[in-house]
Amino acid sequence: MKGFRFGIYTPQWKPYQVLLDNWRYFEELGFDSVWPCDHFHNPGHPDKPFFEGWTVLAALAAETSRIRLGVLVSSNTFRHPALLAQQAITLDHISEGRLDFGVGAGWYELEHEWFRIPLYEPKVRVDRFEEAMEIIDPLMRGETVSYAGEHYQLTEARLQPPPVQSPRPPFMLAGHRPRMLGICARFADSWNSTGTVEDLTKRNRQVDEACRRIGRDPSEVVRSYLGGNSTLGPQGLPDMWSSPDAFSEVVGRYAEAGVNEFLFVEPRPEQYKMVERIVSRVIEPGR
Amino acid sequence: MRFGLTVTPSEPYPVLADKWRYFDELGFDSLWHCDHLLRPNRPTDPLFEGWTLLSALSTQTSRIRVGLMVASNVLRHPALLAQEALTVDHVSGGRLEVGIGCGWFEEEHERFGIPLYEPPQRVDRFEEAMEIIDRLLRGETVSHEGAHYQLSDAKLRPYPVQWPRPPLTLAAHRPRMLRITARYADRWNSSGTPEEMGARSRYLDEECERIGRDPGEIIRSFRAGVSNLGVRGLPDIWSSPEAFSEVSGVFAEAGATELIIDQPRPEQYGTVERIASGVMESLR
Repeated sequence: MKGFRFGIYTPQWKPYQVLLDNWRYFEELGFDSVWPCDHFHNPGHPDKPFFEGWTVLAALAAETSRIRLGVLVSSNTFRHPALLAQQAITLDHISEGRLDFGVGAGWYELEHEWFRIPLYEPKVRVDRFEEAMEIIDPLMRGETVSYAGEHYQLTEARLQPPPVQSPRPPFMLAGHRPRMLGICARFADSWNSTGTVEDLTKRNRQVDEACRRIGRDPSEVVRSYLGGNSTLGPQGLPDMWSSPDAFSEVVGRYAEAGVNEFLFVEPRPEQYKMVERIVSRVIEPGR
Repeated sequence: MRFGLTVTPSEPYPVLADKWRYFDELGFDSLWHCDHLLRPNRPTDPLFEGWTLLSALSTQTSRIRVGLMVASNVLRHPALLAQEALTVDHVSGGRLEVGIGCGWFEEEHERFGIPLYEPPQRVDRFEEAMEIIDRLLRGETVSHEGAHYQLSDAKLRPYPVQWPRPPLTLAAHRPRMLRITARYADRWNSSGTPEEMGARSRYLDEECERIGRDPGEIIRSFRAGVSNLGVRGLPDIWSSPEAFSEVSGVFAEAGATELIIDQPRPEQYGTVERIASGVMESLR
């Protein structure tokens, strides 16, 4: 298990103090990163509590000290790219340089319908995402940006201060289909996707090809997988938190697909003992 | 009288966290910062994003109330603002003040290409946003068919910590905004000379009476700082306990029940400590 990074996905439906306790626990255990997401409600559970992603991330960043953190992933449809960039810079300062900047095009229809926030049909949505990335990247590098896009226009705009990390926090872009993967090849330090081993194998090759088309070394892009039982079970794979062997099996299968970062849906508290065994038997020996 | 401070979010985060803890310990009632992409008057200065910074700083304090003075309605959809607010209400353990205004700083809108809208439409949007935010923060299921915002059976969870929702602070200076303030505000905030503030406060009284609301329910929160003290021949409020008392008296006479004061400079902290433990207590 050498050379892999392991993070925990913690959708923010628990009371704040519980969420904070969970984060501190994962930090102490030595996981590399923790991630809330960015939705108006937990997808599939519209009646349940759900905190706003960036503000809850800011509080958790202020109350942790080592672990890296980010939003998995921020929806480009909710905020102007300049506001998103300013939030990311602010988080990078609060966390003293621990932010991974996660962003995607947006996908969850129900929340957009409820609040009538435009989601746009896929082509326009991806057009907007691509323009947003062309704006966010230089803004986060502290550059002065003039941009005459179809969807966004900036005139000698600059955000200060620059982020703590240089030249900017790493970008994690979520994408699953060829055009998004092409944008990932341009901007991502880490590409994140979810799905079956077969899905990840195919998309991973598409990212390689997209990198080569633009003359980028494909090995520069971290291959990050968001996984949980909803995708593992149907493939006949075990719950990764059920034993060290199960964890190794899941990691091994996805590693064959090219994945080198694993962001797993958080374990249930009754699994914590097993998580500690997994850390000591599988994760730590690989460091 | 209550006394709050504004701390411009332009300094390094550890410095801001130290200041917030210090002012919390000194016994001030509230701490606030602004919500801009660029710092007004000094657009090349550093400036952190309002809501994320507020959430982080709220974890560094334990007693003092916290808020944005004020969030600009043109920078975010009202539902996102409401979700941010209920999140910070939980993070802070129910210490959030929701400050909101219609937006005004032209330069940031021009540079970043974010519509500010002409004043009538800007205020139309603000009025619709207030109705949506008020109801979403109360946990209601909202359907709204406005000219600018539409919601379909939408709600946010969890309920905020404060009941029925965190207090709303509306920044308003002119008649139409003051009318909206009369409808929604728990606190009205404005900035100007004592005469201007007195006139606006009386207009707010009349508006409250016209809609059948007790005018005494609304905190009258006046800004006091370099923008309005010097021009009136008033002293620097942090220069001495007597100056603090004089400025507070002048604004109280104009109708203020709260002063939101520009933060003191570090070299004034000695005097600030005397003020906080002495005259500020006696004016409460």
